[in-house]
Amino acid sequence: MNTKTTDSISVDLDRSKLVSNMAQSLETIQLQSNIDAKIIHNNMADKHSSLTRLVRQFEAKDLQSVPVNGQKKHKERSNFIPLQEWEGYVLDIQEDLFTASLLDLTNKREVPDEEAEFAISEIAEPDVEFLSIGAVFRWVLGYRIKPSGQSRESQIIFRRMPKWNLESKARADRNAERLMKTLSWK
Amino acid sequence: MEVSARTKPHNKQLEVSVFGPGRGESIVVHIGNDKWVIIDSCYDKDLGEPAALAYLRSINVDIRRNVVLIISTHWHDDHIRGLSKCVEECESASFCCSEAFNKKSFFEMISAYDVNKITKSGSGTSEIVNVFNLLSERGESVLKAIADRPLYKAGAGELECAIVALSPSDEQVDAFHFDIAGIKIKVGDSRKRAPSCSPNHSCVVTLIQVGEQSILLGADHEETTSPNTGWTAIVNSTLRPKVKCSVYKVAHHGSENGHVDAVWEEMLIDQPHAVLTPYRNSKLPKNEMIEEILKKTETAYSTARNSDINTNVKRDKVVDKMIKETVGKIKTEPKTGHVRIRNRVDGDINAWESELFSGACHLRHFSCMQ
Amino acid sequence: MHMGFLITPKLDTVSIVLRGTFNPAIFSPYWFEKYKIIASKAEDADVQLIHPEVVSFRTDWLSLSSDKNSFTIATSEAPWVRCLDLVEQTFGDFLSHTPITQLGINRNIEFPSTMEKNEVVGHLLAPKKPWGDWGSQISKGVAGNHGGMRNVTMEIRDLEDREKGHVRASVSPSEGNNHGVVVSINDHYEFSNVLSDSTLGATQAMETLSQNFMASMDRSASITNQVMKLIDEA
Repeated sequence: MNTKTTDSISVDLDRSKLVSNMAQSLETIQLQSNIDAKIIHNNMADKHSSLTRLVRQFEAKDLQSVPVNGQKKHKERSNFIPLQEWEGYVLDIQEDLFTASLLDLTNKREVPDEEAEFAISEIAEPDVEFLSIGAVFRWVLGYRIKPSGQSRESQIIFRRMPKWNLESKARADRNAERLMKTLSWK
Repeated sequence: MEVSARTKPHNKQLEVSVFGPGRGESIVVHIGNDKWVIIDSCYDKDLGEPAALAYLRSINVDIRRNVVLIISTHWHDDHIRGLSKCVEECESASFCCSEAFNKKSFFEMISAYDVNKITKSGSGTSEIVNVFNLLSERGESVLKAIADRPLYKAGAGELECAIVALSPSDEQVDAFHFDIAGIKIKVGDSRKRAPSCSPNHSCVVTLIQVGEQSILLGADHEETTSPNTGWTAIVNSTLRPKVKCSVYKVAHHGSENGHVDAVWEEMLIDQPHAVLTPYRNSKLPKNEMIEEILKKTETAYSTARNSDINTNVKRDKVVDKMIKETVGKIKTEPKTGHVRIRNRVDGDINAWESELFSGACHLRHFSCMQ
Repeated sequence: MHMGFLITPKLDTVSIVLRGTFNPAIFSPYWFEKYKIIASKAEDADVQLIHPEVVSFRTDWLSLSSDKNSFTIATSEAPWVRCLDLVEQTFGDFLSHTPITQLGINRNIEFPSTMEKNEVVGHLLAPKKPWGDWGSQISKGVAGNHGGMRNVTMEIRDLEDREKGHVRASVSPSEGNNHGVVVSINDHYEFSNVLSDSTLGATQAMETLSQNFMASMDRSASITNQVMKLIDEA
């Protein structure tokens, strides 16, 4: 295995070799209970089972298949062609609206000099809890292209950035202390 | 920068130039003999640099040598965009900010938010952190502004000039620290942009006297219920210079809280030249306050005609259609407007003259936002 | 221009690859959903495999795979910062002890072209004359069928923004007969001190990723635009 590269194509090739070496037969593996994960069984009627199946490596095409007892499950893949992207941050939240300052990334604006009001209902349900003053999001407009057709799409995606942790706090405090020590006030 | 704006004042000509794009403001003051003061900063998006620097360059001011003082009345990025560039380029300038910033909790707060460098629009504290980093690297001191403290005095042989801070008061400093504690980050908090604090308890109201002329720059100062923190505290101060100013940068974007009759009666001449910068987030100034200000003076101006205009950015037609379908419209900041007021040092205190550039207008022509 | 590109891409894929020591069994869709690292519902994920040695699944926007030595996420859907956030949360908040010795920020952009334009640009990037008689043979024959440039890779090292690493850009024709062009960029960082001291974990890699991801996206767009310019002017 080539451990010297981070080029994704090479890494994928290495991994697919590993997977195909393992995919000789069906195997049942019980996960250790202290590993916080669930195993998804290909048979959706039995999805809480702890069985796994080794699967053959698939090729990344529009349609992909996962062999299930010899049958294949097809899933329509889509492509999203972005036309315009902004970075926004929340300025104000009303009952069913929020106002945000917008920085046009597509046109490479230097400062966030645009502003818009968004309906909170435009935010996908898993992201609503991230809405707060100062929260940062990306707003992307584009086309969703599926084999079945094409449609316009607007996405508001809140940044799920790493939390302030002890390490980042310690770093910030060190910086603060350095500034306090090196700056004199008169 | 409009060609007609590119005329440098004479050595004995004073100037107050106010820039405002609709959020944030910047003021540039010529105190005589090609010496300049910058108060706060805003970004001129058309010129791609801080409005103060763009203007000074356009009139051939040697910004490295001739800017003597930079005052920051805010700490939040939205209000001081480009300030670190001003500090970087104006190498001879002393930097002054509120005494309220001189506290460990403030430095911890701005440093914590600034760890968040993974957003393109900045952390909310980037500018002030960059300013402090620059000063630290240069080994320069910070001049602290506190009520009734002199900030600058012209040396012998130069035009007699004094710059005094009229705020913040001790109580305002305490209130500021209380506000900062409220936005302090805790371990486990989600990362986000630093929110602004309102009211701005750290703001620095500045009085500039050159010869017989006086200028009052009201920053974001608001009246409060406490006699020790609002405009009443300033008006009633026994230590402030008892002069009446001919030029007034209207406090807090012409808001109701920023408007105190006593200021107009006791600190300003009759019919001063007044300038305000609109603030679109709070839809300021409102119609009622425009009327109040115009009752006080006819010579009142705004740096922008309307701080809330629909975007004129050219985009794909499909994108425009999708914007209409989702948010209806996107508002954009207007061009950075410029109001310039000049008078001779030895001129009549009523002889100031105003010029309007790039979308600035008489206050009577300002269109309020809905 | 389209999203900053001279020619509208047919496909634009961003991936982040980490090399180090991993426990693949952790990386299930349920784990990511539980800790709110991704918005997608775990039950909607398309799982190829979850195993202590290797994991591979897809969601609506993400492909994730990992083995004991590498971790890869990839997406063909903007905004790209979702990749950044996922990796930073995973190895910043939860698994910061994971020793990561290498980081790759990759981008593959495929855009349309024509046989004639490819011929011109291929010859520009890889002239046939230096190949002597063999090069002359390649030049003969029906255009498009006689062969020519298959891949050109350029690399820059000794960059100031990293202790060790490189930026590598490749240009090649698309697979199949669509006459497209693929530009692949590998932005590679190495952390030699983690190799010798695994307790250093993922901190250095995450800091590097945080500081360089946006710049890497801008750089890959710029390199791609340069190639697009050649095609456009051909």
